[in-house]
Amino acid sequence: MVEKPPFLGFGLGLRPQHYPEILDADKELPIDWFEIISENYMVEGGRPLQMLDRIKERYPVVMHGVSMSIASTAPLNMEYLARLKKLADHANPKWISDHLCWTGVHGVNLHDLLPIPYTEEALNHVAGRISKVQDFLGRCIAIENVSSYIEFKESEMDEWTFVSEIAKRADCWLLLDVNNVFVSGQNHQFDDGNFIEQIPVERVVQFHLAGHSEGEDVLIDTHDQPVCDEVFELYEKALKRFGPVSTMIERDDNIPPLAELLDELNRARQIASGILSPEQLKTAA
Amino acid sequence: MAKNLVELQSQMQSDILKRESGVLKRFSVPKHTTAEKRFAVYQDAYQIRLVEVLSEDYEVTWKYLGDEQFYQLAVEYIKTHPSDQTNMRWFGRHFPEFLTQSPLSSDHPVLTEIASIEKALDDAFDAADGDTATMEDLAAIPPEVISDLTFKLHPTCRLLRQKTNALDIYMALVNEQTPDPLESFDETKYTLVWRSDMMCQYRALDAEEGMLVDLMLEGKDFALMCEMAATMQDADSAASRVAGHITNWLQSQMISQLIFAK
Ligand SMILES: [Fe+2]
Repeated sequence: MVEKPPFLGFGLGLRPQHYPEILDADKELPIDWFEIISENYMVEGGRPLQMLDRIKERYPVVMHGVSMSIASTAPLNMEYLARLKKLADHANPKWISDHLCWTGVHGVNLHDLLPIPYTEEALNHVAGRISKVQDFLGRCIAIENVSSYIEFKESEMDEWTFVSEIAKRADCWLLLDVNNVFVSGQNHQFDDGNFIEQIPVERVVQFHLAGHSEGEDVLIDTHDQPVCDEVFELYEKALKRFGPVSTMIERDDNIPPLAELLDELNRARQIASGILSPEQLKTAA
Repeated sequence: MAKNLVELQSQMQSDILKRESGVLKRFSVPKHTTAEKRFAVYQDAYQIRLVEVLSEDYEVTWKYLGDEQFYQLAVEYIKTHPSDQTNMRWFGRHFPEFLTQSPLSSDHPVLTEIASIEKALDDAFDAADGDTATMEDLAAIPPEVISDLTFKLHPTCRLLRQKTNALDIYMALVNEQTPDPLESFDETKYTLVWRSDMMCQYRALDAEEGMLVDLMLEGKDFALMCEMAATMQDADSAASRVAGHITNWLQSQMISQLIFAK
């Protein structure tokens, strides 16, 4: 297994609304690193790439994609992967991640993170594809658990078994989205604490903390709200199990001023300092 | 091959796109809810997300049309143009063209033209950076080759050739003013869209400048540009008018390269 990347500390998802606040800040901001949405920077030129260049000069960056469609039965999109690789050569990220989901088949992109049944067939299929992507990119990638609203009758195992087994077979890292564990736990009535306990410690390189919204008898992964108390509680459990893992707030909609996100990030920091030693909390930088 | 998964994904996708329910029998959900309700989260999200992208990319077209009509057209577009892009940024790229064809909008050419301005601005935003030629580059050109000089337009430049007052309507709506009534013209109205210092810019060109940019795009040289300008306005000052435009284009970062035989 490839050695885990270093602990980066506490970061944020980079959003264009915050470019000026980040780049023109006259004092050092309490942000250790940024996660970029890969697709937003897979463009020819202009402001997105200029901003990325300025951010990466000052902060460690990781790349997070939404369109790899690793669990799709459509052929791997090699053109997409080539552009992803080109961006990685440019951005020099600490790691690259995408979701354990499919986004479409037959040349269509539904722009959603769609779930799959947890079967031996799917395990083989997805693990094989992750290996191919890792070979192509020449690096280990991190795969994120998603929020889901339905499960499949044909599933042969629990989600946590499936996720753990994928990581083992594909020899990849995991990005544990704590909110997604909570949302899926509520939606499918499983014990979210147990989910956390079943994930292999040595695989997890990153945590996502995010907000969700409430539909009719369902929680929806909208990333348009602050992180809720229950998710922070689950985060505490995750820290106890996994130790220092690079943590970030993922906000994609209804985006507040930077200061509000920094407050949330600070709450994560405080929780971590109650659990981890100062030695453990030291970042590589 | 994962035969079961292939079939499941095909059906699930089709049921999301068509809002059908064949796949529901394969789902398991807790007793307090139904598979139908849960699947509707995915079905709703697809349309909501894409309507949102269109309304961001074509915000002014939306303002012009009003909520209801824009929504109808957006839904129709989503049905006829399922996304095939890994980035939603390009989902709406056929929307101006679609507006010329949809029965809901085809008799309103101004709609396509407003949408085309918005698309050109979006395209200029993240187009390739490219080189920028400067006044110094121009000064370095030996006088004896000036008449053969041709120009490579900057990759962010888009020249729109329109037949209505779409640009005036666009500007009024952007500035929260009531737009003038629609006007159609026999002659071409040129609008140039480009990016300088990372900011998207646009301006109307008069007939002469529009023609010159057209010639530049065709790779025609300075001598021919002067000749054509002489047919449009005062012949004696044609060369100095063209030179004035070139200076302006260089200063506003519209030219990538000055090309001449060494
Ligand atoms: Fe996430």
